Amino acid sequence: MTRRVKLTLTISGIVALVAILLLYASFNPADNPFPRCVFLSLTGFKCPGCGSQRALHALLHAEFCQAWHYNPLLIISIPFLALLAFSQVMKHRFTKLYNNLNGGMVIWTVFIIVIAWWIFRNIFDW
Amino acid sequence: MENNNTRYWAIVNGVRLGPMGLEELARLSLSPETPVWHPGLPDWCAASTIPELRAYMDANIPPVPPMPPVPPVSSYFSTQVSQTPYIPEVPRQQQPMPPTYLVWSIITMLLCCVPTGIVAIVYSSKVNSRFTSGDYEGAKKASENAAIWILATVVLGLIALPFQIIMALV
Repeated sequence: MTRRVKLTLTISGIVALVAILLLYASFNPADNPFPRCVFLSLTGFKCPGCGSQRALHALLHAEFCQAWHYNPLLIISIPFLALLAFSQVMKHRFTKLYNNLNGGMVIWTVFIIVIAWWIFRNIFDW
Repeated sequence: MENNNTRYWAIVNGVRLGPMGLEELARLSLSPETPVWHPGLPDWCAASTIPELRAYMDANIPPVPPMPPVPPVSSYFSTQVSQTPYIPEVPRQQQPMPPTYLVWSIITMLLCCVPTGIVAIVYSSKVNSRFTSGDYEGAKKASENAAIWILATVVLGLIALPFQIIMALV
């Protein structure tokens, strides 16, 4: 990928994120016709991201307990994502941090947590 | 005791060095002919003629053995983002690790309502494992695959959006 494509993708990603945040701040997915999870509609099982929309709305209204109730994985992810994004931007300044965060151990841990959470929530109906 | 306090001067390579103690003088690589002087001598004398210095020069100190080649410090991190700018023998280490896109993998997994984001996380982890094992091409491929799965997740989420809204309205 060229530098320009990368930059475009990064910027559009950030713009999309901000738009999503604004959208979820103003609408409550619980009472509006917001899309439900495709996976849930098709299979009847929740996916690891189910509840993120409602959690995001709650979070943007400072209802942390409510947000945790909807999707704790989202709450845990936010500080981690912030750290990842920081290390990505400061890659050349904090090379060690970047390499540590993008090391195999960290990514596998993320993967295992996601899968474990996926199984757990379907068994215990979180 | 008097000797210990004596200050010495020497002329090494045409440069006058001193004042210094006997120990310090002996540490210079003096040849027997090196001119040395200390208070009490009428003039510069060859190092070999000064008795207290002879003791040092006679001591048969073995020469410094040739150092074994020091292996390059193999830092775990230097194999990832290359911190050494130019190593001609190992071109792979010049290449920085391809991006893992872990941030976007997690975000799409959480927000796009499609669980394919998990596949992107698997590819993110492959980027690192392949890169550390030396498979640069494989790492690049995994990085591209991660990006493709992230985009696929976003696109799938967008395609599903209208259907989901209709279903929610009905």
